[in-house]
Amino acid sequence: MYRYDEFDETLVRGRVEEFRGQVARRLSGALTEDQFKPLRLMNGLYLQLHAYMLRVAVPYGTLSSRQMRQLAMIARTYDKNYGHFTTRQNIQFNWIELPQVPELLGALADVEMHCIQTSGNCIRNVTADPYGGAVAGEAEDPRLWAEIIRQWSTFHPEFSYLPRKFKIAVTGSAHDRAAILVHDIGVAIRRTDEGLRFRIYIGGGQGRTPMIAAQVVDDAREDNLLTWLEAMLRIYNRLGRRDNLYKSRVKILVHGLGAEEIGRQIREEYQAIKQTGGVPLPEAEITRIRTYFAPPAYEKLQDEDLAGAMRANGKEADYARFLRRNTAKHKVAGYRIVTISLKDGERPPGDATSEEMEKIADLADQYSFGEIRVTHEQNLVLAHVKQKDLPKLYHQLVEAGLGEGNIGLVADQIACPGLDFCALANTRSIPVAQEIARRFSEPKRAELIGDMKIKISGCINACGHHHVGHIGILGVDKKGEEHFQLMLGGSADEDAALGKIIGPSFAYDEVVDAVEKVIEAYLEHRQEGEPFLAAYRRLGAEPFKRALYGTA
Amino acid sequence: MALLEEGRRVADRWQLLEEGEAQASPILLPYARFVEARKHWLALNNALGVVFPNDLDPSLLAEDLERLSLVVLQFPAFRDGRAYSQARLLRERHGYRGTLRASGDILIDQYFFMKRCGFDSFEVPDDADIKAWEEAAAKRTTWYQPSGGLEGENILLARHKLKSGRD
Amino acid sequence: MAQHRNKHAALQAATANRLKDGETVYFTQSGEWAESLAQAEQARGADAGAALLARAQAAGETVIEPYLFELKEEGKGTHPASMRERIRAVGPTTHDAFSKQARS
Repeated sequence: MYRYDEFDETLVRGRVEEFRGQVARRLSGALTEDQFKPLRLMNGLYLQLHAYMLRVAVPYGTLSSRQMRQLAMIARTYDKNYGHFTTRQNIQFNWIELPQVPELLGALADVEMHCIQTSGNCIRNVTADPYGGAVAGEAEDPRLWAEIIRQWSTFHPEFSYLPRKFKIAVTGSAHDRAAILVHDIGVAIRRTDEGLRFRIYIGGGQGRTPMIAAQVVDDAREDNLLTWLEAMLRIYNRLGRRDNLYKSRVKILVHGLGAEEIGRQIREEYQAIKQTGGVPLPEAEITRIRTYFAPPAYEKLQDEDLAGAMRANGKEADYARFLRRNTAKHKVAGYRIVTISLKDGERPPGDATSEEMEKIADLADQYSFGEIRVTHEQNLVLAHVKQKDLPKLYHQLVEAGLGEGNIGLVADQIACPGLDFCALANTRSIPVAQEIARRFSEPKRAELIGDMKIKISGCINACGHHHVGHIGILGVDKKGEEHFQLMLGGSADEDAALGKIIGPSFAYDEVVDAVEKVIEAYLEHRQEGEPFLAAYRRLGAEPFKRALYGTA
Repeated sequence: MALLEEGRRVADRWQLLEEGEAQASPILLPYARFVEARKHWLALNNALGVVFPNDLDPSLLAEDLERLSLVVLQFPAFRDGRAYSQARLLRERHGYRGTLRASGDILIDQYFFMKRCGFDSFEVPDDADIKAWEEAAAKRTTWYQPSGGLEGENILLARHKLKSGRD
Repeated sequence: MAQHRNKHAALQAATANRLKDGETVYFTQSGEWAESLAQAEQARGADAGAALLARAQAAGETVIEPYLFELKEEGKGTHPASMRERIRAVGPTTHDAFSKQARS
């Protein structure tokens, strides 16, 4: 993974020092809250319902075991012994005290981490496929391009005061595990006879007006990638709306101008930048960053008979399920990609205690070259586990309370922090997720239901990605009461689709029953082996409407 | 409002020309007024400056840049970052060499970004601690992205000991 | 931060977040900021509410952005009218360990 050189280090330390001074001035009263707020937002420090929340950047979701241990120490020292992994592959701490923030930032800088640009109207964390570098059929590890984009976007002098926040995601596989089509810019890498080519999309997003991104260019070359991005950001910076907070994302600009017109303007700007040399990305720099993403020292191994192990029953049934649900094919023989579930019906989705973080760091050292990935679905990945180590790893996960074999099943939900934490929320979301997970905790039933992505947002800002859930749940305020709208049929991958609202909303004590009715209707009407999304697309909304509301 | 140039407080030799005023030198005009009688203004001997709105395309000034000694760009609110793009376009695409001034709601934390985008003149609050502003910018010794502003090497060039492409 | 103020609210109190740690605090009759809702000064009617808010803002050096919120009377006691203020008063409903009672 990428390691800072002296230049990266200088930049981050400089920021820490700067913020130290700004915090001191706030605490002494030299800065008012109005003056301090934009400054603290630039350092990822939010004020929420009960406390400050600090969002730490985890570039493209990749952590070393050393970094994970430091996050555990920070959780223990400065927070209530836990952290929350987010839908942008970052980590959040919810109980931070302002005077301690400079020290905390110093502790992060010690392990090459920071909170830069995790808030504010700037380019945010560049996310990528968490299986990058491990999965077969990949054009290239997308994380290396996420790193190149990260450096280009950090403290960019022209793009630090955009109309609104800007989110970029990168995938290197045909199967999109990074949800690029609902990002402001999505980058898809493929390999052709002439080398790598980038397909770049603009204008995807969720929130109040969800949209699927439009394609701008199909075959951009490596050395032109940053020039394309610069052209896109410049058009947005100049033309994005600044008069209305709810219409200020780039998706609104794309929708307003139309895909064709914005494509034309971007191409024109791109050509103009090219004429004065383009945004430099020397081959030497691409090569330098590539070396950080070189494959680890794999052993020469054979594949084990995992298929057999996956069919086991009796005592081995839980392990078999873990293999089926939580592991995925690795590009190297004898290895496997393992996902650790942070969803178990007890913990809020995506939360891990300090002890768990330390345990996972140890497991990463033992089994996966010391590297951990955060997924945008709030789970963690050990990407390079030897197949023959799987039983031992599983055993240790179970001992640590991290052995749930439920990836992609109904309990594996995305939930935003919601009204329990967030000042923007209409409703709670975590307790809804906890109850759903409890309702469907019986493993055989969960597997019978199969692939089911439930995504819960406590308000229209859609941090829980409810628009792209198979079942999406949106918290709304109905006369001061917590209510929830259900929408069905959303999808975040390469066949992206936005869910459709199924009908009138449900009260807090009705919503989990409603989810159960939807699932039961699915089970009743599905064809043999048909997953939920396919069944919904075939059946339409009718059977689900009937199940929920009793009428067609 | 004080003027910060080359690290010091300086007197402002420019004043917005009012209607009916005699044409002293130098002449500073809002863009609308400049464009109304462009040929007239360009034909004068006076030093010319234009206050340019932040929602217009800077290429509108391209032909006249050689004749302009001052372009003033606007930050109506510190969050409104359109003038950063305008500045870079004026410097890097259209080759503007005169004074480029940042006007409006400007924070000390933005000074460094503005310099990098090519601003070299800054309207700061009357009570601004100029020393603090200079220190804040001086602390930033390095940066990732090349741009038309500050002299010196960005990280890419420094890493690979490349020459700047600007020469 | 959004202000959840019912314009016709009969009973109100003033709240803010403490600057140092973001903790929910309430303005008391003695002019201090207390962690417990039970100690909050209550105001009845719009005029008294405005006056309470003004006092709270004047004492606002150690807190961030005081605002008024509505209380509902239920039996012998009062509690916040909105779910949001109920959660601010007692802490997140997600972990018992994070409830305000547990913290004190």
